[in-house]
Amino acid sequence: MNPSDIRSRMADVLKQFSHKTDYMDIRAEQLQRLGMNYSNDELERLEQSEDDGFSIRVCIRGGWGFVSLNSPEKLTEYAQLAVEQAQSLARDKTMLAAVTPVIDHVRISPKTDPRNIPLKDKMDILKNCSDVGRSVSSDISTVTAGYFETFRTVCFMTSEGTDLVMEKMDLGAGVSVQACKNGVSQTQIVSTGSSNDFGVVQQMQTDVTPAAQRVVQLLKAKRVKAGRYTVVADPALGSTFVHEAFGHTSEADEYYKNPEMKKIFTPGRRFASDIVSIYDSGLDEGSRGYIRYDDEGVPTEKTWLIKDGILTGRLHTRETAAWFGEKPTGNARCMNYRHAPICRMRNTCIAQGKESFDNMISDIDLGIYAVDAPGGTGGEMFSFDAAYGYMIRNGKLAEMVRDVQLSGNLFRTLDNIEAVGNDFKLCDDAGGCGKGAQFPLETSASSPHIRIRDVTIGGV
Amino acid sequence: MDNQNEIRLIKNQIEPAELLISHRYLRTINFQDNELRDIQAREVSGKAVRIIHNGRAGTAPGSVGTPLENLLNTAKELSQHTRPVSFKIPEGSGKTEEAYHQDPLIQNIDIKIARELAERLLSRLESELPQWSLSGGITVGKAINHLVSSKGINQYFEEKACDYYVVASLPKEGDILEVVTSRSQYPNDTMFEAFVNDLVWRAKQAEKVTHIDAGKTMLLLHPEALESILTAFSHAIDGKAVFDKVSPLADSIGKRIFDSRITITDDPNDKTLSGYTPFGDEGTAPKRLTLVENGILKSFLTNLDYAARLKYPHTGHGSRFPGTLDEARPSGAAGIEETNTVINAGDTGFDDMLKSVTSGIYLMATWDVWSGNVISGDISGSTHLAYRIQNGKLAGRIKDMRFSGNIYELLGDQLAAISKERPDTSSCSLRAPYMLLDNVTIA
Repeated sequence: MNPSDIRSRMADVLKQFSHKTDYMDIRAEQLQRLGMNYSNDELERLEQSEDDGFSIRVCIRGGWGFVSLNSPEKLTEYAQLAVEQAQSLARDKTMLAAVTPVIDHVRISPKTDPRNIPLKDKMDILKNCSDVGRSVSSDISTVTAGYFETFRTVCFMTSEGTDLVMEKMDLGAGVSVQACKNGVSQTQIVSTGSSNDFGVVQQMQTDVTPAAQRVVQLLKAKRVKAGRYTVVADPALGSTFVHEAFGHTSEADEYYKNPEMKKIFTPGRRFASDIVSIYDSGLDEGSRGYIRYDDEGVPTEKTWLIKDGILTGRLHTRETAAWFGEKPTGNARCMNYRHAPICRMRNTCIAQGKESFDNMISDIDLGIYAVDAPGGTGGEMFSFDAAYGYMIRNGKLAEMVRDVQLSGNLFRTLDNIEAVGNDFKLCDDAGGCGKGAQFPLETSASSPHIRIRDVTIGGV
Repeated sequence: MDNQNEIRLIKNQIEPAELLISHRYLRTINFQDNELRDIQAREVSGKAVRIIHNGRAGTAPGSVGTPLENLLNTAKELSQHTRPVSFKIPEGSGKTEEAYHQDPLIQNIDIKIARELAERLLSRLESELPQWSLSGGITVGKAINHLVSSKGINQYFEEKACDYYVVASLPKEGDILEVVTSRSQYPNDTMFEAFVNDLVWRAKQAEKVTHIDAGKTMLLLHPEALESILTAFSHAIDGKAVFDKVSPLADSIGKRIFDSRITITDDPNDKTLSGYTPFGDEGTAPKRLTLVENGILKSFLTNLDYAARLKYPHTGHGSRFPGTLDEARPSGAAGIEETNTVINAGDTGFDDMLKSVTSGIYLMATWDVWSGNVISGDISGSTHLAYRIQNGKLAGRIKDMRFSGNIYELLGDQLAAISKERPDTSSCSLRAPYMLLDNVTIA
């Protein structure tokens, strides 16, 4: 079906069923994806794919029905099913924060459009990354390099009159350099992503040599000694911390019907030391977390979550906003048509502070400078892995250490942030955020350097 | 079966070619904070082709509506950029092979039985855990995978299955306790009771918070925690890791890697576990395979590609899906994945194991188990749900701790005992005992 036929079909189905519902929306999605991976000097995988499908969401007196399907011919049948599902769970009333219906066509305007870059050039970039990485040392055993790009067109209509066409671009690339010697192996990853610029992939090539040199150095580094330390986290690690440890707990669908949780997350409460401010924004054009509208058609915004240590907001879908009597924040997002939108982050940031890096470490007798974060998980308790670290001894950076893993408790750690740096970095990589069955969703995170006391470090 | 035209087209390809078609029909009910929240119906399909064109493999996944000719053309075009392959697409008999596997209590893919289970779980758990908030979901579904090739493979596998999980949470100031557990078979009455009792036991034991000092301690591993530690081993026996020389076990076939009491088998034939597969995803059925026998490494896992590259037997572990009931579309290329992991039982009762610990930790669930040094087997992780053991009894939940060690030492010299019991757990493709480890670092 061509796009105008699809929209016409969607409008027909809405007309046919919406009067039986309190709320109904229909989403049609077309996706094209290119993905490739190099393993050393060989192209391991090269795939072009497409995926088309629909979803319908219905709410009747607080009960939700959701369907997803591939065949446009079955839209009516599945719309009826969604209505029946919602009807069977109907209780008292539908709670959805009011929004002004929007009619818009969001077009992408890439800085450097990957569609204009020949396939061979993309492959050459990955091959070059692999060659460069392996040329640094004979201790480097494996270099893998990957790239993906997606182009998505979403048509979205609601029973309230919202009618959107949203074009989206997303891309990411990463290089993993692994070195092995004398029974020790270490890995360093460089990664990037963007919603409008293939240029970040071209730039990534310059990061490969330093990463390869670092991984060779790490072979000689000692494992960090387990214990509790004052930790200075670099912006990449700070970004992982704010996303994993605090961002997920700000998602209001985690607790909007839970009175105890609502009590814990009451706005106006002190939640962090007074030098800490945190926000989540969908406005940062070019970041992977950039969106003009969320997947309920709500315009995006910058949402303050903590200001000067005080809890000021949370991330909402229209339903959670109504339950809290707050305004929707544009955080209802779904990975694709196969999933219903839930509360998700966009670009989650620790706001810039005042401290210089040198000042931050100057009075630490024994601590750790933890750099980069290839992975992690979080909630009230969080855990993530620094790519590498340095001991801080007597106020100065000392020897490099490896296998640095951090864990802690959200509440204590936010309160234990002692300094926030005067720098600030957007950290976009090729990964994504997972919640429920929806992984990976493109998000961003940003942070300055931050200093945290009493962090648990795993190690020897 | 449908897609007859596409099946004919793939069978008639002159070059070796495969078409993998998948359909998923899923019905889900979710509950949140003790209330039924939503019902979902998903019918998603996909397909993928792989063709060996001029000695190189080209792959292309697509949507249900993508014409097969387009996918074949894309795969051929992309194949010119890939490396030459030395594997062959397996020869089949030309006959259709069909296999059906059904969760015993799933006759029809109907939301009614999912809803009935959700209501039953909520009702029972609300009475057992009145202060707790309960969320979760139940999915019943049918998964169809159909692999057809120009070399005579025509394998159709249909499975009806059920997944369900419950998150019980007890938020308090400064402590948001969450206990999560799941199963992958629709429960009969006995299984339902066992599931509820397991969850209630975990939750009640966790209500009291206690502390343990950092240092070296005894660690009693629940099979779910054991599974997370075994990810380092899974990586090491993956044929691709062996080929890339990033496996610490690349030269260890025939050598002792674990304590002699440990035997590990990959068993695709165990229908009680979720990794059951009659055909595999590359047309060659995986066979029951001993990975470790009495501590000695016996085999790696391979797909067609890496078996050929390593000149090692093809074990049939090529995987084109991330999970049974997952609605992800198939991939043209195959990765390498275990099916069901079965670890032999030991000779110590769980209660005796527990009683033998004067001071230690009972670790039920982990977070973020990570190996910064895969070649050595070093691992470290967070204790997501763990209890202190004092004088042979559980003494409350410990929070915010990390453990670390080396998998080959933990399951080698540090292994103190293996349990007789191998309980049903959330690890739906694992059958394993409890293990008691000595001298484990915690911080």
